[in-house]
This record gives sequence, C-alpha cells and structure tokens, in this order.
Amino acid sequence: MSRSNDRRDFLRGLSATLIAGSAQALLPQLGVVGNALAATSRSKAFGNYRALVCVYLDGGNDSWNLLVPRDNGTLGSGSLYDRYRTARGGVYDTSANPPSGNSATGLALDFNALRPITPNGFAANSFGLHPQFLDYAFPQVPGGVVNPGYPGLASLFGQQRVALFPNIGTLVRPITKATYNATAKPPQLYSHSDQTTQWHLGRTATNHPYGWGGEVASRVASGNQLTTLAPCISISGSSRFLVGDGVYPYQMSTSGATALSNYSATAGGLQSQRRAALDLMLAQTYAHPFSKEYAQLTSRSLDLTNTLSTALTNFGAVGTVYQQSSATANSSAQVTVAGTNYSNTLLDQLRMVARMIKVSRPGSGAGINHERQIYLVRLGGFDTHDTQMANTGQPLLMARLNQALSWFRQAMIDVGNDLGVPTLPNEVTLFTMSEFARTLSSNGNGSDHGWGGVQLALGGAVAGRAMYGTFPNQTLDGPDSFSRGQFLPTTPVDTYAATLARWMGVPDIDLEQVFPNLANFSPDTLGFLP
Amino acid sequence: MSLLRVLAFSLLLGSALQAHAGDDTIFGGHTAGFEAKYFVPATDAEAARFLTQATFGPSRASIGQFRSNSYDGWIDQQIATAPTSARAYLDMLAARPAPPAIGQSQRVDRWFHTAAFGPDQLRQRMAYALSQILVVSDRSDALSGDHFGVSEYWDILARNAFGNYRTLLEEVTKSPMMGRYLSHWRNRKVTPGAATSPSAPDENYAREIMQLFTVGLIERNLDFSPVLAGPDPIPTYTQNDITELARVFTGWSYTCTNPTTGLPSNTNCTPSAGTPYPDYTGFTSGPSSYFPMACFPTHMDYGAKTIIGGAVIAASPDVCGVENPSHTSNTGLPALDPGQVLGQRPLALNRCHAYCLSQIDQTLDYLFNHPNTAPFVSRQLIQRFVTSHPSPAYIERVATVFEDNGHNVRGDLAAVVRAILLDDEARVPPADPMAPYGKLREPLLRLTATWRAFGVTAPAAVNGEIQMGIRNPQDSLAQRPLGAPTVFNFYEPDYLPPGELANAGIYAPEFQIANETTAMTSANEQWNRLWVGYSTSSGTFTLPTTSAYHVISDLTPLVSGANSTGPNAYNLFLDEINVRLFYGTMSSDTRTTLRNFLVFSLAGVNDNIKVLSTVHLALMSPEFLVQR
Repeated sequence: MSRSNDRRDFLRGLSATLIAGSAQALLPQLGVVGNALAATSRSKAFGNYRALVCVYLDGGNDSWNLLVPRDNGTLGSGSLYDRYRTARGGVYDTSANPPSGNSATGLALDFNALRPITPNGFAANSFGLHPQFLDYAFPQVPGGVVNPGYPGLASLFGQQRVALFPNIGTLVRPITKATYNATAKPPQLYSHSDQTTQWHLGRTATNHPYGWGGEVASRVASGNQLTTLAPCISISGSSRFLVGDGVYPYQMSTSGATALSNYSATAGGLQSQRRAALDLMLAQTYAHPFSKEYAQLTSRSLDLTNTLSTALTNFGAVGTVYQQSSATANSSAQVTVAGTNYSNTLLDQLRMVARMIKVSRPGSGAGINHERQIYLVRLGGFDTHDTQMANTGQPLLMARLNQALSWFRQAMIDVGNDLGVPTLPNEVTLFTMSEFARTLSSNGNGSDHGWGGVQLALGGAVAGRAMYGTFPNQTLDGPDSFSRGQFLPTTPVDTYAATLARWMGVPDIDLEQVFPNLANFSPDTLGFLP
Repeated sequence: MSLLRVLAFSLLLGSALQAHAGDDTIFGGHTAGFEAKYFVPATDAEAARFLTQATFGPSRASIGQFRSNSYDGWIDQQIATAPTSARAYLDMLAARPAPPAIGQSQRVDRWFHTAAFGPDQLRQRMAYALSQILVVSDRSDALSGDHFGVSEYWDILARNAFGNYRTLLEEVTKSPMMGRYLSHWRNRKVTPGAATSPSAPDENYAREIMQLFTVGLIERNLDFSPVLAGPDPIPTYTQNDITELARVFTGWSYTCTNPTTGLPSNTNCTPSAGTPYPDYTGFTSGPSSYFPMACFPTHMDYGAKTIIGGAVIAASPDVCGVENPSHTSNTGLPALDPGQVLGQRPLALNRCHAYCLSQIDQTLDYLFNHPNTAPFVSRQLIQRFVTSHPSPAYIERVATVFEDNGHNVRGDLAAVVRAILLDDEARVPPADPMAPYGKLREPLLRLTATWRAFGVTAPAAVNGEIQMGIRNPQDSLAQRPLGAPTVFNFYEPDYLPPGELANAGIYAPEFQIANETTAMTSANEQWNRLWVGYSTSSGTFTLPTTSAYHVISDLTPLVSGANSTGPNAYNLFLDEINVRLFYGTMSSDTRTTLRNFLVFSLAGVNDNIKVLSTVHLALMSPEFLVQR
C-alpha cells in the first residue's frame, strides 16, 4: 500500500473526527486538511515535476503593439504594417506629439524599431515584436560589472522557446461579425473586473467559485508531499484563478514567508510564551465564520512560515544575476528605459517563484517535494488610457515584461544545473494572461478597452517560434473588428488554457469540466505543448 | 446582563421616550414619524459597539460622551461638526517660511491624526467609506506628486459626507484628481479631418462612473437583487453607451481662474493680449490644481449623444471649436471670469460653454436618478459601516431612504448614514452566533481602533508637521487612505473568500486583502505601533518624538498588586479590554486564554509589558478581528 493511501486514510479518519467537532484543537487549519483530502481522493502521483507560471498583465495589455505585422520587411502603401499604422493613428513621435498635449498621439510603433521575427510558415521577418523585447539589459549603474546578459523575448522566439497567440479572448462559441448579434457572447465585455474573472475561471459564467488554475491543481496535485503548502501559490495577492475545490492558494510576498515577530516558538522566554498563548487562542472554537476563517488563515501562515523560511534560506538561493551589484542581493530589481532606471516588481516576483520552484521540486533536499505547482505573478499598469506612448507608459511595461521573462528563463536553467536536473526548463511553462487587448484607435494619447489580443508562452517544453491562431485584419471596422479596433477573438481562452491544463496532467475527460465551453471549439487544444 | 438583554431594555426605553425623539429634526430626514427605537446606549459596551461601527474606534472619552447623549442626538451632533480639513493643513505647511518639501507623507500623517483625534468622527468615517467607492489613488503616477489635489479630494468627500450624492458626484467628476486618475482630464472630441484629432474620446471615466459610482453592471431591484429576464441578469448599458458617454466627458482641464477669488491663479494661464483665452494645455499642475476643472468648449464634443438607457443629450445649438469661424483656433474659456465683459467673447463661445456644463448636468442627473443607484451605493455603504453581507431587506430599507429622505429629497447622505446605523440589523446582531454577520475589521481601522482604545498621544509637531509615525501603511496593512492599487479599491464588494464562505455565497470584501502574508505584516505593524516608546525587554518608556504612542498608566494598576492575585486576578483589566476592544462580547474561552497568559506566562514581568503583551494578543484574537 502506498504512502499516499495511508495518508488518505489518516486524513479521512481525521475528517470524521473533525465532523464530530472535537479535533480543532489538534489541527485548527481545517482548510489544509480539506485541501489534502480533496487532492488525495482524486488521482495518483506522476513521478515527475511540472509547474505553470501565470504572468497576469493587469489592466488590459495593448498587445497590438506587442506583435506587429511587418510584411517581409517591405514598407509600402497598402501593406499590413501600413494598415496597422493607419488604424493606430500614425506613428508615435515624441517631439511632434507630446504625450499629454493638444495634438493627438499616434499609437503605432516605428517600423524600423520593431524587432523582426519569423514565425514558422511565414516569410522571413514578416512580424515584429515590441522594440523593448531586446536581450537582457542590465540597469545602467556607472562602473557596474559587465554581464553578457540573457536573450530577450525576440531572441527566445527565434530559439523556439516562445510561442505567440494572436487574437485570444473570452468566447462562448466561435463568433464573427456576421454572426455577432445571433451568437451567445461572454457577459460584460470590456469590463476589467468581469473579463479578468472570466479569464481566471476559464468559463463565461462569473459565479463559479473556482478558477481554472485551482481546478487543475485539485486534479493533479495528489503527489505533492508537503500538503500544508497548497499547490497554488500567489506572489501577488488573492485571485480566484488559484482557488479550487479544497485548494486554498498560499499567498506570499517577494521576500518570502513573513514571520510573526515577537512570537517565535523557538526563541524561548516571553516570545515562546506568547506563541503558546496565541496557538491556544487560535485553536479555540469560533462560531462566527469570519473568525473561523481568520483563525485558519493565521494558523496556516504560522505553520508554513517556519518551513518555508528554513527551506528558502537553506536550499532556495538562485544565483542568476539580475543587476550589476551582488548576484544574490535581495534588493529590488531595476530596469532601464531611455537611460532612466525603474523598479521591476515582476522580476522580483519571478525571483521568488524561481526560489520556490527550487525548494519545492523533488530532489531539492528541502523536504517539500511537490510534483505539480501553479504560480501567479502580476504586473499592473496596463490600463493605458493616458500617456500610453511616453517612456513611463508602454515602453516601461514592455521592458519590465521582457527583462523579467528573460531573467526567469535563465534562472530555470541555473536552478536546473544547481539541482543536477538540466531538463528543469522543460518542466516549467510560463504564460501570460490579460483581461483584454485595447482599441487599435487612439483616444488622443492612449487606448481604451478592447477584446481579443495577443498572449505568449515561454518554456523549454513550448513548441516555439510559432504563432497559434490567426492574426486579424487590422482595418478599423474591417472583417475582424469594430469601429475602434476592438477585435473579435478567433482563439478562445478555453483552448489556450486547456492546452496548459492537459500538459499539467488533467485527463482529457476532465477538460470539459474545467472549461465548460470547450465542447464548442475544435480543436480543443492548441498543440504548443506535448 | 447580556448584550441582548441590554438591547431589549434599550428598546423598551426607546419606545417610552419616543415623543421626545421626534422633536429634534434638523438634518438628515429625521422625520416626525421616525420611531427612535434606539434612544440611549444602556451600557459602555453597547456604546462601544456603536462607536466601532460609526467612528475610528471607541475611546474612553467618546464612550462617555455618547452615553450622555442619545443615538440620534449623537448623530445630529456629528452632522453639525465641521469637517477637519486635510488641504488646509497642507496649505498651512506650505505657508511656513522657507518650507521644507512636503508630499503625500504629510497628507497621510494628517489622515491618521484626524482619524485618531478628529471631533468629526462620523463625517470622516463616511468620507473613508466614500473614498472606497469613488476611488482615486495617490499610488498612480498621475496623482503621486499632487498631495494638495489628493487632500482636496479627501475634503470633497468629507464636506459632502452628509450632503447630497448628486452634488458629491458632480464635485468628484469635476475634480482634477478624478480627471487625471480616470483620464477625462484633457479628454478631447473627435474633429474629423484634423490631423491632431483623436480617433475617439477616452472611455475610461464614462465606463467607471457607471460601473463603480452609480448604476453598476446589471439592473437591480431596490433590495439589490438582480432583475432577471428569464434566468439572466439584464446589463445596464452596452459598449456603445460607453462610447457615446465618453463624448460627454470632453473638454475638461485645470481651471484657469480661482473660483473663490475670481482671479487668475495659475501663473502660466493668465489671459494676455495675444491669447485672450488660455490654451487647453498651456498650464499645468500647480498650487491651484485642486480647484474644480473648467470646460474648454474648443475641445468639447457638441453633437447629440444617446447615453445609457436611450437617454438623449441634444446637440448644442452652436457649432463649437475650430469648426466655428468665430472661434479662434486653440482657444478655450475659463470657467468663471467675473472680471471679463461678456461681450468680449463670441456669444457662441459662451453658449458652447453653457452647453458643456449642461450636458454634464443632464448625465449626472440621469445616473443619479437611475433606479440602480440607490441600492448600489447603499449596499456598499452598509458594507463599510456594519456588515459585509447585508440582508436584502436591510439594503432595501436604506435604499428607500436614499430615494427619499422623507422630505422628497433623493440622495441625502446624512439620512442614509442614519438609516444604516439605526437599522435593526445594525443595532441587534443575530442571535445565531454562526450567522455571517458583521465584517472583518479593515487593517487601517484596526490600527485606529487600537489607538483610540488605549489613549494614543501624538508627539509635539516638528516644524509644524504632525508626527504619527506611519506614512506607508500599504506596505504592512495593505491599505492606504486614498491609495488603493486600482479603481477597484482594496477589495471588491462581491469578493467571496475561498472555501466555506464562497461555497455558502457569503460576501466578505475585507478578506480579499487578508492572506498568509498580510496576517503577519499587519500583526507586526500593530505590535510596532502599540509598543512605540516602550522597551520590549524592560518595559521602560522613553518619550517618542516622531511616532504616536500610548499612555497606559490607567491600565497598569489593573495588572499589579491586589488586582493581580487571588480568584479575581486581572478581572478589572480584562473587563477594560473587553469593553474597549470587544464591546463586551469577549467569549469566555478568549477570556480564559488571556487570563492564563497573564497568570502563568506574565507573572512577575514589568506591568507595561504585561499590559502591552496582553493587548497585542487580544488584537490577534479572531473575535476582535471581526466586528459584529
């Protein structure tokens, strides 16, 4: 009989005790027990490690400037680039069009600034990526050490590590302009909160309590050994994306698990006395559901803080350099745009993800031994209604994204080498989500809420240098868009997410439970992962 | 006497004295027919519970004052109390000789000081509640440098806290802080054929004023339940409505004249001979940037619009802007310019300006009068004061007052807040201890409640500047006054915490910022604030100079001498904790835990350490953390 079955029996027995209502003092963190129960009762261990890292671009990424048509490098009237430039109100020119002036700001990128790419099946250089998608640039510190840097997203696309998905969005079923009025549509298009929720849930009904990340985790995490640590981990606050049946996401900060000061259980003296009293208080029975919830939350945090702090300290160093000062410095990352340094919280978050992957993977020595994990990180500021094209607008956002992803990919290589598992990069797939793309047309100095847009996936297992889906016709109010260039998606969130879910080990038969609209689309996955 | 019996008693008392209650009606729709069921708080605990809902926390003094008053009398007195101005404080700092640089930190110090000491507690709590609905945030680049503007925005909320929601909505809409935050500031019409024309006006404010400030996404009944068409809710507006409404919010930028003095107040927008009307963008943020924005008809969309619900705003009778030959290119019109002779302006320009104001009026009237607005706003205010998950009947009772305060006035916020606080559902918690009633205390309110409960004192001002000692509360408490991460506030009104609560469909917004990290960082911050000045090892006190501190000399006698021995050891002290933090509802289990901590763990330690250690443990109690 396997260990995990023994544990399941133990938990079931405990659960019965809990129902009898007498064991809360033993194990106040009911959620953790429920978590482990749900996971163990569903599936079996895989014997390998896989992780998803969701990079949420909060506010609606104007991704029509992430991926731009380039027409084989020919810039002519009537070209695809010309159509793009016209729809965006012309090329942004910082001298002629101050970002907040009387004159309107074009939102198009300069043709020559694009970083050309050649997706499989297309002529050479027929698309371009955002100018900031260059190879890792260290922040400009005078006299800093020189580092060879890491490939950026344009290079990684060429190295087949990155896949692009033009025109993904929320859908109930396939839709075109011709069928628009007669076809069921997702509710509350263009609304931040609703479209975010639908992306997170993998369904267009917003009243479902679980996100698709949590739904996946509840089906694949039974081989995770340290059950007090949830398979879903957020470095950026709460999100329904990570909530599943019995899965309560663990939320941590960029500096790790925060300890409760002055209550150390091991410091002795008054500190330990306080901690003992606190443990007793948290183990009391609380009738009020909010009190009960907060007691569980606090207990869970206290339990995990020690485990994770020890693991991260002893086994969680990631030496991948991210700035010119000390490689292991725990300071905030910076990114340089047009000679000015800015913070890069996305890199800080991904650094904690890299450290957590290092300590969580079986073989790390830290004793966590998780087989399946889903991480959420988030970068805000994408709601670029205003001053979109100024350096502190889209260029900075794209620079942060590029630098953070570029670093993370290098970190996975380094962590793999540290652990003696050079194939680790194949075990981790990073992907982006954003509630919508934005209007192609300019509101004067920015863009408004749209619908379908571009996403990307990065990882060793990703079949890269490819575009999955159809790049739309960018004529305003053309066959694929409404008057302001809000695009009807041609790829649903569902098939994108289902591809990731299946790679994580969700059985095909379960995919339509996780993504109820999946049956409306064919094929039901996109083939960018094995 | 149990709390329930206390309340039953006060119910009887209330009806006996009902005749008096009808007399003092001045504010807030307190009608002659109003049944003042809740007349006089019968105990300190009952008073403390009310003050937990209505203020930044009960203090010994406020409990006493309230008990010598009545519920209605206290609310009347609070309504009559003038607002403590945030901007006036910054103006005072700016007026110092050779003033040192100030910023948002001084604004935050002022906020904490007002929360801790301000006499206008209910007004400021209402402003805080409104600040979580009508959100602007100094975390955004557009506002981070404008502490004057953000302070004035707070004052708008405080001034209108007991005013009318329609007025508030207009002041908010015209606030340059909202204009910059949701980008209708300098939003411009489409001018076909003009090279400098945007393709469409910015839709940001048009969307959020409907989604978040007035009607919400779906049609609602008065009790907030969705209106259904078959099984489906009915959207309140379409994308096309947004695009149309965006055209209304065009033409607005910083004002050019000070509307109080009528004088030009922004040096680079002074009208001059060559440019009689300043350019739309020819002036920038400055000391007067907090005045209401002005309309510049040159940039205003003068065509007809069909906004939400098929409502039509007719086109201007005049062509406005560069399309009209009588308008000089690139000119605008100051909002108020009393020194100017009307005839010096083209008549059409004046009429265009009037149209600009009128279309905003029509739009705000429509949204304000929409049947959704009363339940939509009422529900969120209830969530901020009393309970996360109000019953539909409670929402309906409050929304009914929003619709009509009894004197045919809609949107009377004084009447609304009175209805919220004096409702049965606010005053009498459910008998079932498992009912999901009340709310998780917000981290900021946890801190202010602790301060007020234990006699917080602010050190002497340094160079005129308040010193509260916490200027970036968002780092540890996940909240900052007027500093939410996005326009969706720190948390959303429909947040369902995963697990039991979500499965039962129980809304609990504050749990959206409660997680494994913030549970620890907020407890650590509480510790740091509580122990300011006190040594954790010896308990000795050193007078702080830059942080607010507690004077606990009223409590230390309760943990020493005869009060710390025998069968009644620590009872007086625990009674005090019970009233000040738990409004008399501390469970016997929690009391036992705290008592055992005092008796067995803290025996023989310094009295200050005894008091502060026990208070901090009580602050981590899941009972304290939930306001019921």
